Amino acid sequence: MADQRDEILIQRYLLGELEGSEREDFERRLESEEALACLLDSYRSLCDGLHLLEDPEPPADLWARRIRPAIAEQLDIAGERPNAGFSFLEALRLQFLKPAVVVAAFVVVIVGITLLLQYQIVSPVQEDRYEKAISNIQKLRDQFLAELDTLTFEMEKRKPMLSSELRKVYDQTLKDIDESIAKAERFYFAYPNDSDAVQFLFAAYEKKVEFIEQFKQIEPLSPEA
Amino acid sequence: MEEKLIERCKNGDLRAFEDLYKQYGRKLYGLCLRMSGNEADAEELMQEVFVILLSKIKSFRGDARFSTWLYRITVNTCISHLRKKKIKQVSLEDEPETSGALSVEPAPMAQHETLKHGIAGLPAGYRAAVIMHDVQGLNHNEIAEIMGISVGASKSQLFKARRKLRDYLNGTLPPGAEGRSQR
Repeated sequence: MADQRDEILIQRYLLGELEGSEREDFERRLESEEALACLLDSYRSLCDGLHLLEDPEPPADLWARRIRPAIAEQLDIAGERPNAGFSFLEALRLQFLKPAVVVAAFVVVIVGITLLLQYQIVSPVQEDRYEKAISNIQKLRDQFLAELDTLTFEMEKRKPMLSSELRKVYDQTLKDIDESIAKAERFYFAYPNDSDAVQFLFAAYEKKVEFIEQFKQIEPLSPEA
Repeated sequence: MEEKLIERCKNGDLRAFEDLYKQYGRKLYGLCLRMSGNEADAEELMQEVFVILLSKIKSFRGDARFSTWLYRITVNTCISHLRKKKIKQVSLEDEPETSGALSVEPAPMAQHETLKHGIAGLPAGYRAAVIMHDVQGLNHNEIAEIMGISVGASKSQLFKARRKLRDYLNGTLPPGAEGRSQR
């Protein structure tokens, strides 16, 4: 039966904690004591096996199915019903300024709302189609987010070429818009089949796209300035 | 980068939590799964961890590394869950394929299953130490900080865990037997 002190020595050896004469003594013993060498082998094999155990992937829908709804619920949505931050008329005005972007965004909103309204009352037969509708809205949202990421990245590169005042206005306004988006997203995740929630969400995204597009039109400072 | 993400979480930004999940989800899920021993409990634990994270993140001041802090929440949640459920330690004597001496080069898949079974039979503290150190590659300083114990205690937990696993693989001891008397 192995001596407990030997087991501790082996584990320290495997951790690389044995040094100098202590290590030399131990390695000498390994050459002459077969039982000790076998014990070391068994610990080595155990450690190798443990290192080979990989972290398993969590279920693909774990975030959407369990964690996101739990967090959204905790965020006390009822007290933070989001304000999209601008009126519908203002949105329309902006649309005329940037027709291409806004028309695309508007189509997304309309399609999203239509799909939601169409599938809002769910029967067992409709369940699959309802899931598809939700999934389509999610895809549209992903496209919006990807576009926003690209725009934000491009603008971050341009920002140093703007005056400090403009940069300040840009950062502050973007922060306000991001807060609106955060509220809209909480609302949406809490009530994904609520047409108001979808409308708020896409309106908030649209606002951000529009804002960054406007800033991209601003002429940068000349090098002399 | 991470500071901004944490700041967004503090402001209740759900997308920031999603980004955190993408960053740490696999490690945390691995820890929860190995600690609980089954997928249903691991999912429940992950949900609990993120809800606790939401409630505590405003108190995170950056004294410790965020990953360490998040691990601490996860380990504490897992240990607390195990205590509440009073999970039955698995009797390894019921497993005929686990008996027999450990070969130096065992069949990998068979050893994986045996190891998972062995880990599931360890007491919670040992289990956490061996998962974090030997499976997930954390060092003793990190484990000590996460578990709120000394480095020496962390080493001791690991040594005992490995000894029990080794005995189990050799078929000389069901780890659950000693585990019942542990915390």
